Amino acid sequence: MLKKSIYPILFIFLSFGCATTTPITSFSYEELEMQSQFFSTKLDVNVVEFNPGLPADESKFQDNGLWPELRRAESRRFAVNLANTLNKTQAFSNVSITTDSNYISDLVVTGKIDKSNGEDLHLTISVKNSANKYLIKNKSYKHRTNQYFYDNIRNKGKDPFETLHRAIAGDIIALLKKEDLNNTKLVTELRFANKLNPLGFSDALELNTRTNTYELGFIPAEDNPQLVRSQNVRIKDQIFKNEMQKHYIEFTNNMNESYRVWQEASYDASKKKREAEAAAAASAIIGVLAIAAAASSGDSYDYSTSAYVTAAVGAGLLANAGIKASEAKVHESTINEVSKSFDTQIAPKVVEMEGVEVKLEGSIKEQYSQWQNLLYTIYESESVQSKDFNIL
Amino acid sequence: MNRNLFNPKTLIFYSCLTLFINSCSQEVDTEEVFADVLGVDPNTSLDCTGIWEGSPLCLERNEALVALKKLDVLMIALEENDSSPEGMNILTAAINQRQEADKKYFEEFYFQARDIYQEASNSIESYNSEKSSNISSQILYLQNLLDTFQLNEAKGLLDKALLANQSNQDLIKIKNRIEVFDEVSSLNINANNELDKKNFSLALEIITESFNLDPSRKDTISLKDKINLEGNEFFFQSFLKEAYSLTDSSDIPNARIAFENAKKLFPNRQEISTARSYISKKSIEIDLKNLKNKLSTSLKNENWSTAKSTLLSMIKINPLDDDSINLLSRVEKLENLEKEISTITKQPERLSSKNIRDNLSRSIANAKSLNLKDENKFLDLLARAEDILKKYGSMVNLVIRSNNDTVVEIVRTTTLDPFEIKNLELYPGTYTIVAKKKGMRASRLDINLEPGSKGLTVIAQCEASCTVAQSSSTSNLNIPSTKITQPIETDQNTLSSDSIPSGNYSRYAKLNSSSFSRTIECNRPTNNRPYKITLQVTLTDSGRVRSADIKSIELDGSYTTPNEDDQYAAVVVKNALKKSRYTVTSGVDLPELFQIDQTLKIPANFCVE
Repeated sequence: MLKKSIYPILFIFLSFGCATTTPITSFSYEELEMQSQFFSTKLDVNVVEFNPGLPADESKFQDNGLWPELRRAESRRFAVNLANTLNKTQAFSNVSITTDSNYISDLVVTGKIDKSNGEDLHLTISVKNSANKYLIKNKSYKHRTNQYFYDNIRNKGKDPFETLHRAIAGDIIALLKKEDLNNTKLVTELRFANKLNPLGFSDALELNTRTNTYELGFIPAEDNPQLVRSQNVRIKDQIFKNEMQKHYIEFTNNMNESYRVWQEASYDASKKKREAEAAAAASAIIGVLAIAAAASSGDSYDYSTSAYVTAAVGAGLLANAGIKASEAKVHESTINEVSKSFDTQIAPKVVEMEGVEVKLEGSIKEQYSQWQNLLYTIYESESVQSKDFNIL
Repeated sequence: MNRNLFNPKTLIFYSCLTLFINSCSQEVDTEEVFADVLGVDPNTSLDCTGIWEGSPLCLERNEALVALKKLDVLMIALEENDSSPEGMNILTAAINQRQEADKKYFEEFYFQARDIYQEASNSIESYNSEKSSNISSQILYLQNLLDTFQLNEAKGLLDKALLANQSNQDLIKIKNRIEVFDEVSSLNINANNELDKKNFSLALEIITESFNLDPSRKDTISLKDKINLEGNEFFFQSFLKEAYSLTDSSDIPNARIAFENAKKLFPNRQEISTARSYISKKSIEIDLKNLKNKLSTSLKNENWSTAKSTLLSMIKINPLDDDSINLLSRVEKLENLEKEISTITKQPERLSSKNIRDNLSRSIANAKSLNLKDENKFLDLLARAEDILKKYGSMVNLVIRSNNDTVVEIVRTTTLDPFEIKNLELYPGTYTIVAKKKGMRASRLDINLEPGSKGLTVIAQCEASCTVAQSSSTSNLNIPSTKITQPIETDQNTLSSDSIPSGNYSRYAKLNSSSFSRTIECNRPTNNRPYKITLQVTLTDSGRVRSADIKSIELDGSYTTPNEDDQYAAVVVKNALKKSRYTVTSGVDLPELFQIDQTLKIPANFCVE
């Protein structure tokens, strides 16, 4: 009987006793820049707005302690933070945040938020190159910050999870050292050309059906007029993406202060809750040991006691959330408002080509989508020489 | 306490005292005062409140005061405005009556005071009424005197009238009129003189000055009207005359200006509509004459665009002009044909394309059907075009050397699998030769096969890199040449991914439908529109497909831009066709390589999940 009781004890130890996040390895920006200095070329990167990791069933939001508006805001905020980190490494050419992973770039970074509570940030990250090859596939990145970070006035305005973003950047740079970057750039160029003119570039790339990756076919000559047209359109595509980045930066800036207050308050609450749960687990272990002892002596025991203890501690935590929690509450509406306004509408863009104006309207996602359709029109009207083009 | 109800005896005492004091004064006030200190003050308040409330005596007193107020106003007005003897008499009588009434008032015989005040008021009103009637008739009379130039008599009568009513505005106006009478008369004479001399503008200026001095002078008004009428008539006739004159001298724009000036003066006169018709008719005649001259010149110079616009203007003026309509049709054809033919002849190297050659042949035939005679420039152009077409109709040799490891594409013409040497015969013109190999950057070279030349040799190969270069070596080869022939028209058919039809698709080559259906590979569903696609397929004499290139996509009966899904479906068909086989008709003498046009109908949503 005693032996049987040992298994739950071990289980609890394994579950709660080791409930810490393994430290991740990250390099400084200087180190990352050093690592990338031998790259044959710098790649463009699309960081796609992250998957907020919300369950499909909205009724579970509350049970899981999720605040959906905040998560949606974080899905963009973390993408912006990662893009900033990638930019700071000086290892990449253009780093853009986009709304869809199908938009073509040398590298496409996608991510999902698994956990974000001010203390812990868990992200699942994938990185694909333009040939459709995964450099990183669904890798989990976890980081736990500490009170010292929040207390240190030198950290004011800093991202407590920058270490995690640097770790991702470090992984990408390390993996790129093994890749033929010029080949990746060429595949990107040909995929873009093929997207605009499938007939003209049908044999430029071949899809390997086994690996689902693109391989080079008949590479068009550099002076192929259709390729030159496609390159001109691609320059305009980058101008448009650069223009759209302003909205993401503005979005992050608008919520910076509110998010910082929330994050600090959330850190307190999360930490207390975690510690309370650990304490409850420890009590449960003692209880289990008592059960084991009782079992061995033939006494009865109420197995629901440990759950009751945990619930009681959790309620106490909520009640004593403290001043920081009430301060955070004040900023809740700001975060909600900023997040919702980003979903609805941004300023319309007027694209001027050869005196003809085309207006892009709606949310950032809708404008990105309208732009994809407009690329074909630009390609059709494009001559070999680049024409006048403005985003007003 | 109401101070107005002091005991009259007390008031008499104070009045006597005042008189006594005044009598001792050295200065005598000569001004006549009809409401002296002993009189009742007409501004006494009408207060019957307090202990006097409801008192009949108080009510009578108030009635008396009301009558006094009215009388007071009438007396003041009479004194100020009327210095005539009659007026003075009436005023004196009123003063006496008022004093009598005041006495009654102070004796508290209010009803008697009231009646006397009223009687005095009636007398003044009656006098005023009579006087008013007199003044009105006097004003009329005065105006009549002025209208009949009896100035002196008018002056005498005015002085008298002003005595009785100094503030009468009508009399003051008449006084002013009399003062400027002579000046106005002089101005009118001058204006009349200028009118006689047809100096309408000056006459109008003078009469306006006169009118401003005395707007009521009948002779002035009459003269002003006369000047206006005669002046307008004069200018109207002058403008019309000018309009006709300018029209006859073909100066239509200025004629219209003169006409508009006349119209402003008398817009509804019959002469206006007559002149309008005349100018319009003349204008059309002149326009047509000018247009005919212009047309003649432009036809002579074979300037078709000017001739076309001139004819359109002529037809606009006369939409039923059949000659112009027929000529316009011919000119439009000439313009289009000349444009097409000259565009091709300026770039004869484009004649390497079958479409261009066909277009030029068709344009030449169409031009000849127009029976050209006087169009010398056009005839020269046609002769040149025929010459060029003939020159470019003879094939030229193109030798391509390669390394048996390179695919060579002649853009929009054919694609050749790896080989070592090929001797091709092509129509003269420009071609782009591409050397390509999987995984390597292709290389391109534009060449020009001159008509009548011995041809060219090109080395196209991919080794360390792809290169295409023209060789200086001669192209005399002992290997048979392959003609890159014109595409052979094939029948059309409808294809879909799940239903491949059977039957003959070509007079010389039949698509093996099962080989085609097996090779259709859709990697994703397509939301394409239905369209017709024509591919140029290069076949070996054994029916193997060497290359398949899309020539055209026809959407809804017209050649428009295919969208992404349309293009994807086309690529799927193209790739399938590349891997398909054809059954070649036996017994027909076909070259080793030949091309056919394969037209297929692609249904909507070609690739489905």
